[in-house]
Amino acid sequence: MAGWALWLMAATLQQAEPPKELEAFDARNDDGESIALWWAKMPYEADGVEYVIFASFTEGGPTLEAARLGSKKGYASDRKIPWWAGSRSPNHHYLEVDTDALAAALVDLEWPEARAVKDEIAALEGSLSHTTGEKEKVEAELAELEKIKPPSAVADEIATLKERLRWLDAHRPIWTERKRELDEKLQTRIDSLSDGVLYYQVAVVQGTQELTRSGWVSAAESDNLFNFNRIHSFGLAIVFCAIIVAFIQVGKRRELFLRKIPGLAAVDEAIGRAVEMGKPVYFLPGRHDINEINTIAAVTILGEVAKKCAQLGAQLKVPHTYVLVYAVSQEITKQAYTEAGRPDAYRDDINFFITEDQFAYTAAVDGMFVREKPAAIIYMGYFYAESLILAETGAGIGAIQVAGTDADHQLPFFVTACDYTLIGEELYAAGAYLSKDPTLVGTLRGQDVGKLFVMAGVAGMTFLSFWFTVFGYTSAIKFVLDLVTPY
Amino acid sequence: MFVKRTLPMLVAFGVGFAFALQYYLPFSFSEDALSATSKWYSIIASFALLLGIVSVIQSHARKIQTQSVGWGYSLVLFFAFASMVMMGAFSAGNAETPPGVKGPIYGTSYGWLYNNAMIPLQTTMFATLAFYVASAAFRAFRAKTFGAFLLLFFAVVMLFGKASLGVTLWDESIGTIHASLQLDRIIEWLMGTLNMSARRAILIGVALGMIATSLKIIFGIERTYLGGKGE
Amino acid sequence: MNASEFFLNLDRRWIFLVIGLVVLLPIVRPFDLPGIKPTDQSKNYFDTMNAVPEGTKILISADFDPGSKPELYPMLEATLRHAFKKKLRIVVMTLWLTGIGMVEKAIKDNVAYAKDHFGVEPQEGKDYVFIGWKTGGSAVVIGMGVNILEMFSQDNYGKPLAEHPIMAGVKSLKDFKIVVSLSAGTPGFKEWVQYGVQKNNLTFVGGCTGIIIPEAYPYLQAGQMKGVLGGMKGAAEYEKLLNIPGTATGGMVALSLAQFMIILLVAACNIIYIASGRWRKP
Repeated sequence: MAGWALWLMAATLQQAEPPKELEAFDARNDDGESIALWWAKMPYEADGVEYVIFASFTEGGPTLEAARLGSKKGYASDRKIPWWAGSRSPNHHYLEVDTDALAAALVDLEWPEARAVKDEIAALEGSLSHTTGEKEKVEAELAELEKIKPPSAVADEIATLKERLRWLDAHRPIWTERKRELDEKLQTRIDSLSDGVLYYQVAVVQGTQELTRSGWVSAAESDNLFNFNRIHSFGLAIVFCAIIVAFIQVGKRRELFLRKIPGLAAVDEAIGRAVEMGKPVYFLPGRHDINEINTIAAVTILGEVAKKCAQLGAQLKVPHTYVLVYAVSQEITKQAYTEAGRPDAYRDDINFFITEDQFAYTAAVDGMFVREKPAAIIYMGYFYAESLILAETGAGIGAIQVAGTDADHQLPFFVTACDYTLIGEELYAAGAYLSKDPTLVGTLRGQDVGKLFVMAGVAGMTFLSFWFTVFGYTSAIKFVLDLVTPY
Repeated sequence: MFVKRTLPMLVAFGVGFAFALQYYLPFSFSEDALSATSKWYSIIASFALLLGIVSVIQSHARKIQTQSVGWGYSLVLFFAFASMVMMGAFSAGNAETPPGVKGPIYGTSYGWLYNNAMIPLQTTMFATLAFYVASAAFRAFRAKTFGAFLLLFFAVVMLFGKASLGVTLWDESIGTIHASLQLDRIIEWLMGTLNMSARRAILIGVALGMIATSLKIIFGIERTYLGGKGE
Repeated sequence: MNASEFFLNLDRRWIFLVIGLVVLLPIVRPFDLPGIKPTDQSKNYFDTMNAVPEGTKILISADFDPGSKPELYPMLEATLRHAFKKKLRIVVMTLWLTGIGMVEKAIKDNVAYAKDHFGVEPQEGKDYVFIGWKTGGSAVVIGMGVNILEMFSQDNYGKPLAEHPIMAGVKSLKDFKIVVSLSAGTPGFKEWVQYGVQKNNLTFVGGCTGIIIPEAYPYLQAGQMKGVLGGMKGAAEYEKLLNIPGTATGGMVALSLAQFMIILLVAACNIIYIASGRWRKP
């Protein structure tokens, strides 16, 4: 039976047809680096049978093996793309080839000088690499010889080594320039030969025997304008932006309800307590730089806190860990004091830079807490391991502490050690909450509606996935999952 | 006014909009622009380092000049700063003798300061976290309510799971009842399912908050970072 | 004040003292505790590193500072030892300025370890290279995804990077079979996943401090990270899988004892709390 099957397979292979439906086209959703090849699944595919892709600069010209694929691999159904971005047919093969690397290899076939140029480039690279090591060795030997007294005993050796160093120094730039010229010459030749188009054939091979070969197909790679694999996230982004913009307009027209956030309501209480006790208020804007959104949210809150401190006459101190945040915070604090009608109360040393180092900053701030015993400490922004060290020290000195962070791994520490904690997006809501600005409140409502949208989407997808799984509709499950997969 | 407020807002709008779109545009100019901007950011970040050093020197020099409270510590700071800079320059910034170069087998002078001063100081500060965790746990894990009891229970399970002795004790007692009661399975479920679902909820909210804040900055609604308030 | 009130309002300094003594004990009187059991994630990390053949190029980014040394330095050492044992070719870097010295020391010590224990002699420039530090975090990862030599034109010691044989054929992150990030925060494995893995389709494994390991779970579940080592325990599990005990294995004793002491204190506190009837009061 097995022998009969083998005979049948051999007979089929001997009469093998070339791969059908062969096409070459620009690989989509990339920056023009690849060509895609597509051909139909053939009846003779089996273990031991391979597809070999040949490439050439011209149709019928000398070819080079570009890729080799087991005949039972590389199906279009294995592609990691969403259902709308291309075919995932299990009855076709799909393969992408890097055209730049291919062209660099093909030039050897069409340009007799190519090998010599490449060999010279490799030799120059070797010389340059060798030079650096040799120079260090020679310098080390020279340093040893120069220690020997009297110098006249080794004058000849020193002179030889110095001459060698001069030779190496003189030849390095010559080799570097020559290598640059050769690289340019090679690239120019490649560009003239290919003109952006390469030709391909697919051969069917069993062991060392080629059974059949397809005709020629060609394609030129090109830059793609849009990555359609990501159109679903683009659509979601547009929808969410539209919701935010719509609610900004709504917020300008009527008053929107904001629930009470105890942590933010406590900021007034904390500052008032500091004024009564005659102790400072500390504000820590987190451990991220100004390019992070959570730091921008934190400095927005700093503006409101600074205004309140100016109005009530509390002493504010803001230690910083990043210089750009320090610079921005200075401007914000100055503006806040001016808007509060107390420009006279503003001092440059309200904001001060300590260090970027995490634990040096923590040690410095802890020292200030213990010495000055502030009445109120406000942590807003992104924090790391130092959060518990700071918060426990603050709790130990009896300060009222309000924390707000989107660093979920630090939330348990703040919740434990602080009197009030803003969780996650409440940090982003804080600026709108404290200022009561209608536009900012409108964006908050937009965020909430966006969240409803996400919740509905998650619930819907979960429900659909569940039922599709129960009824065995695997392709439908993929359809749903692709909508939420980041490609 | 144009340079201080309008121009930065225009730049924020243009660049913010362009790079929000960049994620969806794969062509070479877009990729090259991202790569170039990343390099510019590295350059700006390098200048920021210099600014930080100048700021620290200025503020501590002022403290020493006016002999305000704690000015002695400012002297210590200058001494430590100068030592590290001088040793670093002397050792070309290498903590260890570079390969292939003849030098002391124990490393460089900068390396000595790094390994014997900086590392112990930093690890000591991090080590204090262990003590604070213990005191915070002692204060916080009290079964005052049912919710607090649940928190206490799962915290104890996690503590068992993070200690090799705890894993052994658990697996050889409770873990023998059924394979699914093995501690690493329970921890995996707690972290990967229970904890993950709560974190994802927070992360989705945070992500939406970030998008909204970014939109406010791009459209110039949020201008606090310029030193002014919103519209 | 009675005993239960005293205990429930215990000055934190007593707790500090107890923890301090417990952690000091295994240093003063070393002893072993029952075995370390590797978790699935540690096994995945080990299997990913083990699956590649001799001569494969990998990138290790040691993104931590001295503060996180107890947790992440053992991971770095174990990863280097594993790589040297398998004769992989390693490019090492860091995104954290204060980590440079530790990376230099780790490479130096483990090259010597490889010579003594594995009978291999890794050559600098051919089998490994330390390309140093660059500021910018995610910007560096993005840049490396396009052209590494534009981001790092020299190695840490000033030699032109292109002249090292190990960099032959390496243009971008895509040319590394595995990328490893051992991270203590930002920039760290999140930046590698968001700007490196997704854009360049990399095989990525990570290590991190115990506190931020929940941040790795979404990436593990999405398949963007193949495995992760979590904290000192993860490092000890990796050492066990490698069968090369290191500092993490030794540190697990102190860690275990401290955690048990916390459990005891919390349990005692709750027993006294309930027994004294305070839990009934509003």
